[in-house]
Amino acid sequence: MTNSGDTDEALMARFARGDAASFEQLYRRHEQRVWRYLERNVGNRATAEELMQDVWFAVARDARRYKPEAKFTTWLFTIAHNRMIDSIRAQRRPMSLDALGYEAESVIEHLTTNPADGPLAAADASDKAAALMRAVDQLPSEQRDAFLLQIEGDLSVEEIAAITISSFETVKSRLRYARSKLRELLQEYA
Amino acid sequence: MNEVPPSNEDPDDIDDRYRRAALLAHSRPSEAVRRTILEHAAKRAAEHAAAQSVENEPVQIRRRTPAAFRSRWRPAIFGSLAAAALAGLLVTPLWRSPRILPDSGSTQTDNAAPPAQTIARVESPTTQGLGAAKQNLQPAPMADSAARQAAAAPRPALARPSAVAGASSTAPPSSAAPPSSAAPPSSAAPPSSAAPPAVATAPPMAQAPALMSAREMATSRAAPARALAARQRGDAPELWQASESGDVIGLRAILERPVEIDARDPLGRTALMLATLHARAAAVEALLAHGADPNIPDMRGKTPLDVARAQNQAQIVTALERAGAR
Repeated sequence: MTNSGDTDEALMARFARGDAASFEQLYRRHEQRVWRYLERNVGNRATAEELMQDVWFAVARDARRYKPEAKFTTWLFTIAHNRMIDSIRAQRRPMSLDALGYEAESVIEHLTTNPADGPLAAADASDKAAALMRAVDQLPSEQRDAFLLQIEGDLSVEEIAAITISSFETVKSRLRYARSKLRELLQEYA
Repeated sequence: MNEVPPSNEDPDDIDDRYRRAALLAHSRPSEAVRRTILEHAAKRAAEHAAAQSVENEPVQIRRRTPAAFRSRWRPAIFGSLAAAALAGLLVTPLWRSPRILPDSGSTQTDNAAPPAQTIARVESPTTQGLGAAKQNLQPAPMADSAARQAAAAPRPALARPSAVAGASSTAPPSSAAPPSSAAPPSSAAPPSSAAPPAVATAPPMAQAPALMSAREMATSRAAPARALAARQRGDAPELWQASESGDVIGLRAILERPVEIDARDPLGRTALMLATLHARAAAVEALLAHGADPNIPDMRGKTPLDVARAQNQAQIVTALERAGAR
C-alpha cells in the first residue's frame, strides 16, 4: 500500500486517513535521527525513551491536524524540541549529556561490515567517535540543540530559529560556535 | 533547501565526522519502545479512519438511501406477489370447486383447465413446491422445455470445449502462474526483510559473559565477530553501556546482580576502561568500589590509567591510583 518513495507528507496524509502502515514507514525513516537528537540532548537513556514515545504519540494523535504545507521533519523536530525542553524543565536539571548511548554491539556490526578494518582500527575509530560525542556533550546547551537540530533534523537556520524562538543571527552564531568548539575539543583530544 | 552551515572554515568536516560517529554508535530505542509506538499508532489509525468515515457520512447516506431503498423493497414486492399468488392458488380452487361439483362431469373437465392456466401464468417464477396437482396440470410444456434444452445442449457443448481447451492450454499457465509466483515476493518479502533488523537488535540475555584475553582478541579477526558477541551476551552489554553513559544508578543496579565486572567487550575493553574513555568519573568510582580490576589493558595494551592520564582526567587518575592502578 505504501511506497518507499513516498514523501513524508504523503505518508502523513495517508496515516491521517487511517493507514497504519504509512506511520510505520514514517517512523522507521526518522527513528534514528529523532532518537539521537533526544538522547544526546537529555543525556539519559530512560528519559530519552519516554520522550521518544511522547514525540511519536503526539505525531500519531495530531496527524489529522498536520498541514502538508509544512515540512514533516520541521514539524517532527519541533515536537521533539518542545518535549525535550519540557522534560528538562520538569527535571530541573541543566541540559547536559552524560550518556552516549553508544553500544558495543554496534562496534561488532561495524567490524563485520568492514572486514578490511582490523580490531585495532575499529578501536581507534571507536575512540574517535567517543571523543566526538564527548565533545558534543560539552557544548553549551543552546549550541548543542541547534547543532543537533541541523544535523539530525536536517533543518535550515530559519527553521531552527522558528523552533527555538530565536533570531536568525543568533542561531547562525550558535551553529558557528558549536562547530568551532567541536573542532577545538577534538584537537585537544588528539 | 537547507542553508550551508555558517562557518568559514571547512564546515563539512565536523558534520561528516559526526555522521560517521553516529553510524558507528548506532544507538537506538529499545524494541519495547518501538513496539509501543507502533501499536499506539495502529490504534490511532483506526480512530482516524473512523473519524474520516464520520466526515464522509452525509455523502454516503445520500448515496446509500436509494440503493438501500431498492434492496429492501424489491424482495418485499416480489415476496408479496408470490404470497398473493400462493394464496390465489390455494383459494381459487376452493371458490370454484363448489360451483363445479354440482355441475356435470363435462363441465368439470372444462373448468379444470382455466385454473391450471392461471396458476401456471401467475406462480411459475416463485412457487416450485405446489405438489403433483400443478405438475399434472402442465406436463407437456415442461417436457417440451426439457427436450429443447437437451437438444440445444450438444451444440454449445461442441463449441465450448474447443474454446475451453484452447483457453486451458494457453491462458491458465500464463495467467495463473505469474500471480502465484509474483504475489508472494511482493507481499511476503518486505515484512520478512523489514522484521529481522528489529528483532536482531534485541540481544538475548541468556548466556553469561566470557572473559577474553588479548591473544584471543588478536586472533578474533578470523572468527566471526557476531560469534564473539553471542558469547559475551548476558549482563555485560548492559554493564558496558551503563559505564559508557555514566548511568550510575543503572550501573549500581547491574552490579547488585552476579555479573562479570571485568568482562571485556569485542575490543578488549572492560567496563572500567569504557567509563574512563568516556570520562565518567562517578561510574569509575562505582566500578572500583565493586572490585573492578584497574590494571586490565585493552587490546592495544593501554590501561585505564594510561587513558585517564592522556585525557587529563585528574579525578579518574586519582581514583585509579588509589585502587592500585599502575
